Amino acid sequence: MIELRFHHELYDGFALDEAAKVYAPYADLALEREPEGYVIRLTASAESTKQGIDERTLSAELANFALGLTIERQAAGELGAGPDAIEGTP
Amino acid sequence: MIDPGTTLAPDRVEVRLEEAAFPRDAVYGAAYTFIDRCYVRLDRAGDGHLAIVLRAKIPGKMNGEALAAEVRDEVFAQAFRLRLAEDGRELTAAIVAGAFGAGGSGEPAEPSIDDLLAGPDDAFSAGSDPLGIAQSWEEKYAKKAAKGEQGP
Repeated sequence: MIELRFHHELYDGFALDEAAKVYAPYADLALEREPEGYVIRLTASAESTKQGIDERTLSAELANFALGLTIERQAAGELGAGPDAIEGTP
Repeated sequence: MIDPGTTLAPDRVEVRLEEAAFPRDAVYGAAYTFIDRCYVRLDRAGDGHLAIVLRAKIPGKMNGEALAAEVRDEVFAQAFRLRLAEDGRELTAAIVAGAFGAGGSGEPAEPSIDDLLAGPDDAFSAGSDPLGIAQSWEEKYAKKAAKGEQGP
């Protein structure tokens, strides 16, 4: 299991939520909002591991996706992180 | 020589930036340019500092020192670009306003209350025909001919 921490001032909650949805088929993901930021706990699924996708790569790709989407949303003026975006995500 | 705000490790580069010195958009813009080549993370690095952390997508194929310099250059370039855009905003707005009217939105300026109360200009309102274009030939010239007959 890999735990990823994202500072809430630097990452958009909706972007993290979206990233988790995109990578959900490849890993078990748990999202939480803690006082210092968002936390994603990622465990690669057995299927992904069998395909040779390691947890480290998966978590790095997820983080890249989340950052990219955060920046795109910020550029589009849609930034609005919120704890509600995190809750209810698989 | 390695910048003191830079930490190099195998397949990992961390560049620390003073938050007050660069707009957040510049840091975002710089980070975005490396997303296709590296795994990029943004984080806080102590009081008033941000860190851009890059990790190689393919281990062993990263020149950390060159990459760190590239990150710094990109942050400066993005910050400069933002400043130019900000400085030029008033000039751009003035040009647009001059071209399209005070609104600057390309729409014609709204009429004032006095214009609306005065009603349409009779000479050029719909239905008016100051040049007599809508008149038939007979209307226009038969009257003149009749007047001519009555004349001397």
